[in-house]
Amino acid sequence: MGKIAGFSISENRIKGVFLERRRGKYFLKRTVEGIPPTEISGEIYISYLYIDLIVETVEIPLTKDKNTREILLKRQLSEREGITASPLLITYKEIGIVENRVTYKIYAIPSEIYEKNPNIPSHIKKNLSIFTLPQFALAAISYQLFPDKTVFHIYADEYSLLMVVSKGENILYIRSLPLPSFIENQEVLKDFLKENVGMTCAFVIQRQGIKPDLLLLSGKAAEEDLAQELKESTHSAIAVPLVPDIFEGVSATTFHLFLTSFGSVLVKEDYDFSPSQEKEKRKINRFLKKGIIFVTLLLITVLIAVVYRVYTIKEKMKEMEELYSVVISRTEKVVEDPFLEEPLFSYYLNYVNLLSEIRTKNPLNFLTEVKDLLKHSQAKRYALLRKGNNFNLILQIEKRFSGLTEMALFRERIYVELKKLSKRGIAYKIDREIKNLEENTLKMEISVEGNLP
Amino acid sequence: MKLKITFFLSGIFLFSYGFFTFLALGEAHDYLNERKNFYLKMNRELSYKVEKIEKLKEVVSHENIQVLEERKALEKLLSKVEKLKKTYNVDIAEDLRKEGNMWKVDLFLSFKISNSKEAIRKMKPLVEETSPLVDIKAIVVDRESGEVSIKASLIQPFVGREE
Repeated sequence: MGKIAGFSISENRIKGVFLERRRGKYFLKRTVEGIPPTEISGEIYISYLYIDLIVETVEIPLTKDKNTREILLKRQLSEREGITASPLLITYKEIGIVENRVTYKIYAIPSEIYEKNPNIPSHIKKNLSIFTLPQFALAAISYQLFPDKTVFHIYADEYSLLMVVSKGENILYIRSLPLPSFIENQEVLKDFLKENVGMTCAFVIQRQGIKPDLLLLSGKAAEEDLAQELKESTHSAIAVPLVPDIFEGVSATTFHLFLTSFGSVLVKEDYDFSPSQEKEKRKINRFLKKGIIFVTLLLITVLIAVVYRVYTIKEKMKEMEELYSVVISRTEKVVEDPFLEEPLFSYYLNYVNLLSEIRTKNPLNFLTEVKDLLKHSQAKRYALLRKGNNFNLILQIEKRFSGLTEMALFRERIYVELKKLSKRGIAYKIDREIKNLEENTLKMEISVEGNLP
Repeated sequence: MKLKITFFLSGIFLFSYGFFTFLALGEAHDYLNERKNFYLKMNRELSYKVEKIEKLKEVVSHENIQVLEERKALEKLLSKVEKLKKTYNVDIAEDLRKEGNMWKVDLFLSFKISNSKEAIRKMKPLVEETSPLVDIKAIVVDRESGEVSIKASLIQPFVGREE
């Protein structure tokens, strides 16, 4: 939300509008008349009526440096005939470029209009956003209403008759006339307007080769009965400006009465006649304003982040302290346990470890693994022993059979059992096997070896 | 203008100061996190050790492990040898010796059995013995003669410093 004031100053007459910018629109707050802009906050736009606006076309070599460009333009301008005022305040617009030479359209006014203007005190200059002329304010209104058309805007007030031809944001032609002192009544004014507007219109169409799409009549020009006559002479459409959508809360009468004040707030920086130093200052000011807002936001963010971090650190410290005290108290409790006193604890620990090892490595544990083999072999002798990390079973079988079939079946059964063990990762080896087929006896010596658990 | 520039530069300085403070606090936060994780790990290790100690206490209590001085341990070991003599034929495989904080003697134990139940009955006390410990190394069973031979070490730990 930004406060904006647009002023239109013609000699000693001041008209101002106070607006508020919200969501890309301007809301009218109040209007003032006759009071010079004094205590105003926010951005200020001023259009000051200066009839003898210098309009020239100048060609200079291509240069990228803005200061050099302005010096060249001003020098060219001062060499022109009839331009005596110095120093000048200028605005310019590039209109063409041929072989590194650029053509500019320059608009110039004497700098004293800005520097020594009693209606623009120095404290107002500090807040000034644009200092322009009403001619450019009219062009801005034309562009706002008809952005794609060539508009011939005719405006008259108590002091001047202003005629501005523009297309889009480009100004094609400007003519400004003071209202002569002999204009005492409406009839004389009407004649004056008819004559000058008709002449200018003919000049623009015939000499300048500009065909206006539309003639826009505003101010006193809209009040007079010009429309019909101009329509006949120019064959162009004629209109009276309505309040543009960009302005809210503005009646048609207010808009016409304060047209140049409203128009001044729409003027772009291209038509700002403020001195270069002022423009630079304003740029720095704008940068600082945005910078301060940005830095303030950053500061707030960092402040929140720091506060949050301090909070999390406090929480973390609290958690850590709690945990530390738990660990310390538990450790103290453990350390105080008489069971852990040396050499008692080592004694118990070694004792229990040894007991566990002895029980784990007991060869009798292997019995469950080989019980089927032992049962079926009916061994004469067997030995269970521990060898390193392995268990060993040594079987001595001596058996007499009633027939060879029984012997073969017995032998087969032994092998079946051995293979079962083999599947469980227990290795076996037949160390000796003697078959006596006459006496039907079988002697076997078998070694079985498995890992300790 | 001067006031704005001062305000802007002060803002940038404060922001930089705040930002670096934030970074430093981040490091402090990470350090505290590390310490917290360290204490959490310590706590877990402590729980694990306490659990181990409790299990050890349980085993000590369940197996009725007594604290024995060197002399008492020797007496206990020899008294066991004397007792074994009553149940088994005892031969010394390797004589009594001291290994660290343990008395140790290797024996051959033999006995006759008529059935497997008797074998279990005679071997069970050896397996379950905790003072002294009986480390069975080999068992030989002769089914024809019914003789069972066992090679075992009798080990009796005692309290004392390692020599």
